[in-house]
Amino acid sequence: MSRTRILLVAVIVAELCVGGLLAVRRLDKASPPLPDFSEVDSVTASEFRRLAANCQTADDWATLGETYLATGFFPEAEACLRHASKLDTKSTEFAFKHAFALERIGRLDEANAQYRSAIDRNHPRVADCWYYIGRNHLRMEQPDLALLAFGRADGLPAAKYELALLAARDGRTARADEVAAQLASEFPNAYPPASLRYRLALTRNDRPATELLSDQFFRRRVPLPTPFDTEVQWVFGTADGFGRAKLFRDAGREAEAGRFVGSEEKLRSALAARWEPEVADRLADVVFTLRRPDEAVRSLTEVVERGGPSFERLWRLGQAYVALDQADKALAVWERAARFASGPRARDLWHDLASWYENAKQPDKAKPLYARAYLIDGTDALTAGRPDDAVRALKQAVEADPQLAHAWFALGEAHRFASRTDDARTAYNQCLKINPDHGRAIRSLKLLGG
Amino acid sequence: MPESAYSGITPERRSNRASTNLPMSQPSPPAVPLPAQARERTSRLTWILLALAVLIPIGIASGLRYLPASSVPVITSQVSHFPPADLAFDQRELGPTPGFRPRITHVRIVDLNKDAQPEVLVCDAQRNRVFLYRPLPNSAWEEIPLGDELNSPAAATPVDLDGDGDLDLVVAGLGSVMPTDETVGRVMWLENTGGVFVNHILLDDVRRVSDVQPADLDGDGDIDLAVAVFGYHHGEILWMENKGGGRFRDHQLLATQGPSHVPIADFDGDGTPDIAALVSQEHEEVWLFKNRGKGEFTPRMVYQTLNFDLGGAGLITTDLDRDGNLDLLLVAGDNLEVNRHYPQPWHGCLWLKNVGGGQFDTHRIATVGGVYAAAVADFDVDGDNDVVLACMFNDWHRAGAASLVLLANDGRQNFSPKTIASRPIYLATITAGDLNGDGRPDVVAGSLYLDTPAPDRIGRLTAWLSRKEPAR
Repeated sequence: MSRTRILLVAVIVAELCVGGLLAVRRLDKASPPLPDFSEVDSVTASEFRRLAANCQTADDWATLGETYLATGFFPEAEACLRHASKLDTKSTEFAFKHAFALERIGRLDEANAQYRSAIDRNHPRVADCWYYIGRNHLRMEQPDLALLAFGRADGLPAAKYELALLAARDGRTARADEVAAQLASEFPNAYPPASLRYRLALTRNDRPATELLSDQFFRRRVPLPTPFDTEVQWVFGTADGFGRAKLFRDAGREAEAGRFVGSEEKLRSALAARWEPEVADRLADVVFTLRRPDEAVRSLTEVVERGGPSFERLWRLGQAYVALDQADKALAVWERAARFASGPRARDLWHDLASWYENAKQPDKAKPLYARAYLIDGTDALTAGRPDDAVRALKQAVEADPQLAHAWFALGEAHRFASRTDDARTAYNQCLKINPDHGRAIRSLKLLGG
Repeated sequence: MPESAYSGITPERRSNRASTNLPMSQPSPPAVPLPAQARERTSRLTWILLALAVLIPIGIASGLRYLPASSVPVITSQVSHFPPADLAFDQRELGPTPGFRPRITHVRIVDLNKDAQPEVLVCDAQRNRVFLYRPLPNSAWEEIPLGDELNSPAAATPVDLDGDGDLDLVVAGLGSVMPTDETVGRVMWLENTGGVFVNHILLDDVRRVSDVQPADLDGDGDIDLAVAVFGYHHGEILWMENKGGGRFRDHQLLATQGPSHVPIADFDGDGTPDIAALVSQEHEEVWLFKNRGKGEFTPRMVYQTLNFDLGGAGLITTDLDRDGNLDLLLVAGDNLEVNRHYPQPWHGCLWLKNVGGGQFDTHRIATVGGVYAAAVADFDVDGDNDVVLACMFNDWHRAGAASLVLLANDGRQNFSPKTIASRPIYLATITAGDLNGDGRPDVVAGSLYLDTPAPDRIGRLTAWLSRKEPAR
């Protein structure tokens, strides 16, 4: 055989060997799971496919896993994060996220093993890992193991709270109360310690303490900080920044920056992928700002018909009618909304309807509605911890409608929170004159010894 | 001597030519020129080899694209798929076509106009209304809105609240299906005025109200109310004392996160109605407020679990084992910890068996993912109580996950889950009763969508009418 042929045979053999190796590697190479996207909008589905097609490194796998987790494909998320952790066995973060994904599908022993792995690799959030291990032991109804784990969580307030709860269930009520009191003092706006102390008082039949602590429970507005807050943040951040949701988010940012044309573009793209009332509602807002109220009317009418008649949507529809000089149509939808509106978000509805009546020279109809708007201003200020502002607004409320019993009650609360007990009593009593069955006023008066 | 493949070349010559072991001192044999044919065949072989050398990598590169890579295995839920139920049902939608993302929060089979004909009472949190569905002769159902629009009604119960002989409705005004601590909740009375219902607000400026149940709680002859204020971070359980003339005074029974249901019954057999309460949102407890008479109640926890993630979603009263004591059925399947749900291995149905004196023993009777509601009836007409479960948060990304599950009783309160239906999905509420007068209980369920599934998985108000013959 000539040298040429020898060379060619050698080349062919080498090519076959390399090809064989590549084939084995290909068969060995993992491909990311692709769930059924038939119920996912086209924008989001194509983003998923792009991510999956580019899954090469551990980071790629982790990114896909986190995205699956944030969008509700939990088993696929766990598979991807499992693989990322396998590709990079040193990564603490992959172990941690894999643990979190295992937790979401209820594989708690395995989740705990991964948290321990993250701890062993010196994850920066060791205390949080122990906290999560403890929580998983609670899920598995293993109080002793939970106790141990929370004990290793470095004095995290959330861990201390769990230890207090375990003490309470164990009958060590004095210890539970002591820890809860410490937490209540350290976190004066957090309700869970007040809730625990309230329950302990209830158990020992201490009525005056339960009444006081019930009041504290309602006045403290926020939960205790927990490690879960961090996870919630990244999950929501990931979800909002992906696919169609990203269009919606970016549209909001454009609108906030005053770039309404850009916002409109993004909203229309989101709607083209899938119609949703929240997106169409936002679009109506944007086109309204761009001085196209007729389009806003069309969009909102469709939102109301297809997505349901919330009082907020009806209020906005009324505003669009006003911009079109169709005051009667505005009145009709606002009166419809007023029949079932409730809560602080109705404030602008009350105000706009009151203005309509005022302009129509119907003060008897306007005043009670202004009163409701001021009532909301007052309770908002009270919730925000500004009792003096609350008093100002609530005084306007009772001036506009002296028969609005709940405004007198709220005024009493505002005075009480500002430690003006005589003024508080006066306001509560006024409330009860109008409505003798206002249970909250009765309870608050009792707290003042009245 | 056999001829070689190349004619004209004897083996000796071939071996001489191929030899590399000739000593340098030995002269090479003289070269023998190849005949023309042999030269032609040699060139062809080389060309063939060359072609192979070029084509093989191209072939490998193309072939690799089609070679499947192995997929990373995915662990799926073990509590979502069950064998099919033996019972046969005719499934149909009641009322209008579902439309976009229906949100039915409550269904109940009633007889509001007391004509012995069953009707379906529905709370619709998308259309913000309470509806009544009446059967028409042609198997259609007439939709009748009751009262005026309401902000996200969550539960409606018929009761003669004003004692005028007709049935009114008390309605829990949730105010918002999405979580909020804002004071958007209400307790409403829809007063029946000769068939026309008029809205009255009994309690306002409270957090989200998820349940209202009527009974004469203080023994003074009029109807009072038990109220679950679910809220979000803050909630409470109230009882509202009827003061006459549509006025009610609210009394606080418990200040807590997460009370969702307040069924009323005489649980301890002392002749006075007691209030049971499901408290979820990290607590996962069932309380009993024992009625001591004259509006006084003693609270006691009758069930609790360390598993703060149980997902308690419904509590109903039933005498499951027909022993004369009223039991409680607790269903668990709520799992919106962050922003999405997944069925958990502890979801399902717990039977709190009343063992007398208001004491309860807990038994798990089924493990099923994402359960939100239950209804009890003798579905297989064999003399014992069965249970049907509605699944709200099952694994909807996988085909065949059960949305309606039958727990058939073997006569000794042993139950195993069987799938009646896997669509529509997101079933949030359920009721059982004989809708078609054939003596067999039927099922009606309402759907509440947080996502937008495929059209063939969307329902709004779905009925499963039981058939006599077993399923094929």
